[in-house]
Amino acid sequence: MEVIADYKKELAKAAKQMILIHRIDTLAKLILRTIVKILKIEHASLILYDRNRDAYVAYSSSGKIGLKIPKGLIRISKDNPIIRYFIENRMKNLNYDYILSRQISSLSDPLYKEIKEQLFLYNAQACIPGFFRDKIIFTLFLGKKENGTDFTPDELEFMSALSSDVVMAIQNAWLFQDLNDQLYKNNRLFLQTALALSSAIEAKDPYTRGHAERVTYYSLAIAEELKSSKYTPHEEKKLLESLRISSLLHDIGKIGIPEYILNKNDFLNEEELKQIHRHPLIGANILSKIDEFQEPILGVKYHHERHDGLGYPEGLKGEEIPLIARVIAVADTFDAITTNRPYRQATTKDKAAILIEKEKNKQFHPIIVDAFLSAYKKNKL
Amino acid sequence: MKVLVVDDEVVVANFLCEFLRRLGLDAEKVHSAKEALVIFKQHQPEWVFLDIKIPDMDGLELLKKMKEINHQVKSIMVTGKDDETSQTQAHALGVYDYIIKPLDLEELYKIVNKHILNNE
Repeated sequence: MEVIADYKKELAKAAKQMILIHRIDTLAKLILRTIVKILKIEHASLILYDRNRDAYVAYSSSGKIGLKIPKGLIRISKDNPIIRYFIENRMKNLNYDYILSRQISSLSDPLYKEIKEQLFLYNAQACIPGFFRDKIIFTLFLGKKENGTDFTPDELEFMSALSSDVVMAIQNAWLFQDLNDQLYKNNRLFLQTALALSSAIEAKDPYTRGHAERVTYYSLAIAEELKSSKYTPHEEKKLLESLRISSLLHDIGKIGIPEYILNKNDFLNEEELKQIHRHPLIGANILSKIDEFQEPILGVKYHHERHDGLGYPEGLKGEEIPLIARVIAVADTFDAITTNRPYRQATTKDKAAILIEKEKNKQFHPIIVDAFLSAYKKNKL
Repeated sequence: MKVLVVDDEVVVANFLCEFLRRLGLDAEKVHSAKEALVIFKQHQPEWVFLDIKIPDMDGLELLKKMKEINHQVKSIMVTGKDDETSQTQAHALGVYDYIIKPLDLEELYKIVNKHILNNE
């Protein structure tokens, strides 16, 4: 009796751990390994429902070499006699929640003959379903015991109870996986939306072709250096993500500026300058409709602010200016002076770096300039 | 009846080999084409079970080489490759069956029964 109590305790312990595991493969391995060890059987396999195939596929296996069913090798269709047997019994409200090879061998129903053949093919002594409501989400195949004895009714009942814990754990892991997939898809969607929007402005202003991508590249390189200088008040990953989107879209407001101003080959008059200076606010407005863009908007809105307070649109000073805007300001200027513009020729990168250094504490925040120079010296720009 | 199973995935080869043994066949396994050709010459199996994606040689190429050694060898492909070209090529080489992974053991059992054990 002591032995029985022991295995129950260990399996119940494993069941408790299961619900905390969000990876189905880890989960399945844990449970199968525990079953094989504790019941002392030759092998155990989990055949799990696969949504894409609408069938059951060998998912995980534990036990002796050669008897283990390799992951993904075996498929069981939904009309397999074992599945049919379990479903029929459930519909009749019969409580046969496992199949034991010894038990069925004496029965003459043709379905039993088929089941017997299945158990032979899988080299299994017992089979236990995992039901979620009236759907089977897996079946457990148990090989024979190493000492040759049969499973006791007590062991099988306990395995059935355990299987409902496994069902809950798997459902939980599936849910978690779905959530993760959804998050991943959403993230990609944001980035793609940002790219689509940024190419919209390039269509209008050919001189800025590639500008958004380059500014993004420079911004991220500067942010990397900031990271090593430990000047990152935000969560690092979030900062990088916001910075990526923000720098891709920093000029999106130029969509609202007349084309003749954007492409003018001469100095801009006061009225035209006023118009150009509206682009950060226009951009912020466009993006304000998207909840997830609240952080990136700060970079769009304030990337023309200056450290000394002489910038626009609000004349913010120093650290009043959001960090991502300060980073984009440097990256934006660096790209602007190193590429040809309608009104002037490009400067070399070396000269541009000197110009930016001169603007330390004037146009730009000193720490960002240091990070920029550090990235530049490492040939990252 | 001697059978040789060729699959570079050790667990797969082991499982198939064990399964065929349970059906009463004298099965052995190898994990590469090179090894397969050596054992093929030495043990002269009447049947071969071949994967197609084997790192050192395409499974269909391997079958051609085996046929050059013994043109009477009979074969069954067991593979994850389900494209039409491979299947056509395999049939042109006279394979008895082409089983796509993940496989249904019952189906495999029927195929073995029909072709190898000759009791339908």
